[in-house]
Amino acid sequence: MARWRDRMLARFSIVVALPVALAAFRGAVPAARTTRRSVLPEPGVGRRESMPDGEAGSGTPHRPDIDARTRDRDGGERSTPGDLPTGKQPGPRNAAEWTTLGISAVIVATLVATAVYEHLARTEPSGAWVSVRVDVARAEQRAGLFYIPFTVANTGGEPAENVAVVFEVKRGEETVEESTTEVAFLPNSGSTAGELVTALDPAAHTIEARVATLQFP
Amino acid sequence: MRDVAGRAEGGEWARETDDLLRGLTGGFLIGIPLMYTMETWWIGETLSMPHALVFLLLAYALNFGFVAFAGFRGGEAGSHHPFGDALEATALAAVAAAVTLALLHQLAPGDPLDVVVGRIAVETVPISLGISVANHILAPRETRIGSGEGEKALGGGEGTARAIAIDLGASFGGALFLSFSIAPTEEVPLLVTEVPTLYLPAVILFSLALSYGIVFEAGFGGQDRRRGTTGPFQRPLTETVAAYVVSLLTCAGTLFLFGQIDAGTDWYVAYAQIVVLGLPAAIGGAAGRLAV
Repeated sequence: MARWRDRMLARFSIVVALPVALAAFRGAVPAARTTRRSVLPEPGVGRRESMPDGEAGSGTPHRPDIDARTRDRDGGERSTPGDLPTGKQPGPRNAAEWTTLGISAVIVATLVATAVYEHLARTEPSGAWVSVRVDVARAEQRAGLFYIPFTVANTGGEPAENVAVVFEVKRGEETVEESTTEVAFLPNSGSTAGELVTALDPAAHTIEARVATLQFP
Repeated sequence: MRDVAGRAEGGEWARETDDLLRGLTGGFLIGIPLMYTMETWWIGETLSMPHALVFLLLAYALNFGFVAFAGFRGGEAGSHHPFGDALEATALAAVAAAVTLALLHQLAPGDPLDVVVGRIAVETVPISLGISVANHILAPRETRIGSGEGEKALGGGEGTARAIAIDLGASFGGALFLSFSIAPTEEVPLLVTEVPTLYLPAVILFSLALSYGIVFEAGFGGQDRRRGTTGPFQRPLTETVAAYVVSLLTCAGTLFLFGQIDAGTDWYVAYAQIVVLGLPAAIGGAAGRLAV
């Protein structure tokens, strides 16, 4: 657990460092900040405080520092102190923005509804319920060895990791060969497949499989 | 009047597309390293659905805070519609996570729905944070090199050569920044064993499309200058492909440096590792070109 936390922290440190590095890189040469485009405000554009959209007034604080900085970059004051520095105007959303917002709402609602449905419709018993099925009928012989498919499935409601599976090849009551395999991770309602490899003919022997140990993530 | 209205409507859609692409750029820059972290895939698999909802709610709440002061839309920092923009950042991140995870075969047909929701929910948080602060990662319409400075200041071939060297060097630097942190990890060889062969051309196309969109469509700094340059390697498509090749060479170098590939490595394994790592490298390379 500590290992993945360390790795996640390291990765996140890198992704946080990237914008800082880029910002520092840009800021290192102030003389190069020369090409910010000045877009004149369109007629009728007012201050943000007077926007008809209810969101604007409640969620966006006035930023005099940004207004001032933008005026300086553009090399002069704007005709109206409250005019916006670029083509983005406050006010009601246009058709494109409403469309994006609508699609976004549908996507997020679908995600939330699916999560709620999955939670309510869950029928698996609690805990990990791991079983092993050996499919002797589908065994194949290759280069003198028998490859026997098996499936390890978790039908419980909890995932399992490091699932140790033991295979015993028996002649009558006597175990003549024993093999083990380990499944790194089995999600709830998940399964994984593999093949048992043995020199013993499965048609002449009995193959038993059982789960020996597992861990919880 | 109809023409004017039509152009205005077209402008709305073009500006909206720019805004979304700008947001996606920020999202990928912040989120791509975590999308290449297997622990986030596992957490997504084991996540309970109430926990997944907490991730989505957290993403929305954090986005609301960030878009209010940064945002991804053109214009001054801070959103005029923080409630809606935070929702859009969350949805955009969910789509970006789903597409990328599908390309990396971490979401596949037949996966249990709770695994799909869990993995998307986990990746949505870092990607949407990047979307929410896209304007502060790479400021719109701002560049360190003035309009046509490279070519016009020096004139002729010398200026063009300098501009090419700057672009390819910046691609190398940006690609190195992201690929260096992913190349030594177990995820790269693991993904190569899991990603179907026919997905790799899709990964290549996705990398090229992202790179092109970031540099030439998202409205970041120098976009107009780049579109206006006439050097042989600086037409948008040519520059995109050239920068992608530089990113792939950077990936090959970092993978070789960390021992993931060597002279004895099967050619397909080496090719697949380079292409898989090429996605974050292409994003880094595009960001690098925007930074100069």
